[in-house]
Amino acid sequence: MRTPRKHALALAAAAILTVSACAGTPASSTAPSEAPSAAAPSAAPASESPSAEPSQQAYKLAAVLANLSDPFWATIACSAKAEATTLGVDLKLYTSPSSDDNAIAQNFNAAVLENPQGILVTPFNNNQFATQYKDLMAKGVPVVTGNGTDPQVEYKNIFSGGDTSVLAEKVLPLIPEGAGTMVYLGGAPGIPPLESRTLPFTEAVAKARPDLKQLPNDYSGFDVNKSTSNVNALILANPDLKLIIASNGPDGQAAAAAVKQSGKAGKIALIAFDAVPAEVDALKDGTISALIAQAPGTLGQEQIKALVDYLNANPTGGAVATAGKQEVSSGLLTKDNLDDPANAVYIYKAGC
Amino acid sequence: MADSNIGGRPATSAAVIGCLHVAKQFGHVHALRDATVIVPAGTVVALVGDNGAGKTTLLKILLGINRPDSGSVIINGEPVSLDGVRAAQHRGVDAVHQDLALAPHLSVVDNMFLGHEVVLPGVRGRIGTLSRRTMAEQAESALAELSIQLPSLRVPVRELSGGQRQAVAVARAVMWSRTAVLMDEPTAALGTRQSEIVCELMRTVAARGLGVLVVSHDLPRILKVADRVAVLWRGESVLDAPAAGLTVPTLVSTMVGYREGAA
Amino acid sequence: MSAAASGPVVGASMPPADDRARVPEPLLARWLRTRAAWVFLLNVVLIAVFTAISRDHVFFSLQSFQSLMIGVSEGLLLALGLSMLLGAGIFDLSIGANLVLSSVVGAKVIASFQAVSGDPTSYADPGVAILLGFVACIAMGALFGLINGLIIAVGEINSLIATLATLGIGTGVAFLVSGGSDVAAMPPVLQERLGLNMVGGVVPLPAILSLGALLILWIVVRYLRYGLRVQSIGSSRAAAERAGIPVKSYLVSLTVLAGVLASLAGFIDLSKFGSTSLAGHNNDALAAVTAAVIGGTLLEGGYISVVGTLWGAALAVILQFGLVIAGVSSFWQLIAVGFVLLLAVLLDRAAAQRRERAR
Repeated sequence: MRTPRKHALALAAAAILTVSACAGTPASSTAPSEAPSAAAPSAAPASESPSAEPSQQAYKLAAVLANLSDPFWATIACSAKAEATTLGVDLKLYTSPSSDDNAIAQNFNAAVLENPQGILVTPFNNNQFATQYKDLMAKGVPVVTGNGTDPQVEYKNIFSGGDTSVLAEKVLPLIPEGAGTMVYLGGAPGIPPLESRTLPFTEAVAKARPDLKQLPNDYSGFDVNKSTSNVNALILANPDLKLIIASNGPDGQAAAAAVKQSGKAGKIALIAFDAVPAEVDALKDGTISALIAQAPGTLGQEQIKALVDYLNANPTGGAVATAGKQEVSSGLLTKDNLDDPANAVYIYKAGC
Repeated sequence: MADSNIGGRPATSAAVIGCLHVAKQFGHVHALRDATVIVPAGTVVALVGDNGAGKTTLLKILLGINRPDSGSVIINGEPVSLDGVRAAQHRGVDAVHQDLALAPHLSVVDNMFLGHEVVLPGVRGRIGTLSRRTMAEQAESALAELSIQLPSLRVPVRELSGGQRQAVAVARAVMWSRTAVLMDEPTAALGTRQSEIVCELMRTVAARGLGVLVVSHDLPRILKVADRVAVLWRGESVLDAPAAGLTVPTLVSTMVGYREGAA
Repeated sequence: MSAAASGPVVGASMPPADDRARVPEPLLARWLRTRAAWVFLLNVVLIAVFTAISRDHVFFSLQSFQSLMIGVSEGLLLALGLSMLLGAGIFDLSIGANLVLSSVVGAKVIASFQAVSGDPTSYADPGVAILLGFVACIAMGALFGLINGLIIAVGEINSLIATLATLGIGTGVAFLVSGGSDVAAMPPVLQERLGLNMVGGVVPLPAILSLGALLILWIVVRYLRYGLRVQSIGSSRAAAERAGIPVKSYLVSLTVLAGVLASLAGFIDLSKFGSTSLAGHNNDALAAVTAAVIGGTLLEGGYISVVGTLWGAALAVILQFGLVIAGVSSFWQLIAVGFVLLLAVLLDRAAAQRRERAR
């Protein structure tokens, strides 16, 4: 009975395609999320940018970014694209929706194969492409990363850093008085950029409040459901829990839900890192006390700008020398300053 | 089309099930060329033949699984056209397959009623609520009528012995058939005593008025239990005679192609 | 003789089989032969242990049980769907993707009612928005399930491969529809009245929904013809076909059922957090299979234990919650979970031995 089978398969295929076509919103056609090995052409030819210098060359640049389902990375990608359009250069994105190292490696190789004049790449394993960076730099291709190699081999490391411990004193008023406990939600252990940004802050707060005993760190693997359950358990087991520090978006979202579930909003201070849409909602309704957000918009912009500036300054090529780091600080968002236009760079967007 | 018709083949009109001059081809393979088998009511007819003679194909055609290229299937004396297993089942024909087709995890009662489940009356019945008590009672009766003894009706059938499973399969076929029961190698996997029991079952079923057609390699046993024997050789019916007048050597030589008086 | 089908042919009624010598087994002994019983007992033991070692026995409290019930509600729905599928001998790796895609579709529909884009307070009529979002979510889940069913039953493609494929397709479509990031800004009433709502101040609404689904499926599997036939298909496809059961229709109905259950879990997910969770359901299918199989549903098909699925799903949640309350570090938690998994499977030996002795 082959014919009914073929008809059914065709029907199934048609159904899937129809769902994809109808369900794709207009915004998604410009979204940077693409399959790892099939990069779509970029959308910014030099001739379309009104603010381009008349003599600005339309450099061919590449950006390799991962985990684009995370608004932080999506925002970087969006602002990189926007900056490229503004400067009148041609930026091609190579992205993947997950943080899988293999997918990033494939994207990076694909990008290098197309001989870009400058490349922005931020792997999750910071030394993953150190050797390739050296080769590219020797050939005159500047490499900018958001996640610097150690020792440094790339042109510039434009990263999200800033000593967040200075923000500690600003959040102290938000934490309830009295002795008790505090806990740090770490997502997953062994991620240096995450830890270097969040642990100093946590230590500074702990130091300023010696009456808060620190519970063992909780690592729920960025799983929102598991994290919610874990935070519920922590709240239950520690009635004197006064402060929760969530180091990442999913943990922030989960802790907010748990605090709400147990009716402890206002009694437990919840300070979360990053400012994904769900966290911003929670900040607005008071479940989250403060957000310490990075500035992905600024990052993407600066990273592309650095590449273009270098190429403009070195038209004859030649090996690229390393030129140090550039830090982009995090900012503190509260319910009050959320709408301040200066703080718009700290809010992560889901799409461009 | 020479066939030794010792003892006279029963008339077609007497058949509860049978086939007339059936041919069936699968691609280049002529599974059946000219097969005629008649099973009167109340008799056990053995269908024997060497491997590849066409016995299984014949069974499938009688069951409605396949349709003959030519010739006709007879049920209750009338030629019929079967377009599926359900068609044969509606006419009261059921089978005991070689693999028994029992669901190992289901109980004896559940297996016997699979596809014919009894539901409670009223609203509960409309959503399919099973009437387990009714089914258990009817299953017990059916088994008792065939003198089948089982340790329990509620255990999964895979916990029964091979012979017990065979008995359940036979009982199930008998429960749902009014016309004929077709059996494919029912004693193949059984020991002596269990085979004896199954042979008794065949006679019991026939005694109730149904026709029983049995495909078997076990010639000595089948000669004892069958009323008539039909032999297939390379897709053709070459012998149809009462079992009483036959011996194993005669059957064997017929099966491999020896004809008395053949050219 | 007419051609009309009728009931079984039985003669005059005969006396029933004589089993006076058989001693009827006590209910307790029969119950202990099931794997579900042992997992239930394991859960009881774990609850007792965690209650004892938690400060002020706080594990045994209303708040704790509420947390557990909320935590188990999604996983239970997925595990139930998978149990039904396993009973018929088929698999579904795509339920996590279905959950995500359905929740995204539902969220997008709800979000389309925002007067000001991105503003959760700008819903003119949040009730209507939520209702329509719910319908869209369930419809998407059913459609996803239907596609799975057609590929498996009509296309006759192995269910593991087929659903592995739809897992990828579904995930990709979810990213496309959502624009790559989680959809948030849901009306607050969604969380208040659904996700975090305690009915009567006691039982979380999501748990009531899940337990309701559990009750319905328990009745179906134990008392209805549909449940019996599903298990027969998994036990022996040949037997089911010979019995005249329309196997393909049943398979499609099962995948649609699993799809609807997954989308229900997706809506619960959306209402718990007020946002979708694109990256948070990658291991859902595996967790669902684990819960189903630990609870006694056979991996190879033929037997479904609905109640066992509940105990299996509960085991995971009780264990995780208890370990955190007990202050066990995250690294030791992983080790402990692995050990208890082994224990649960070893307990099956106890049940199996009792089955052997009973023969």
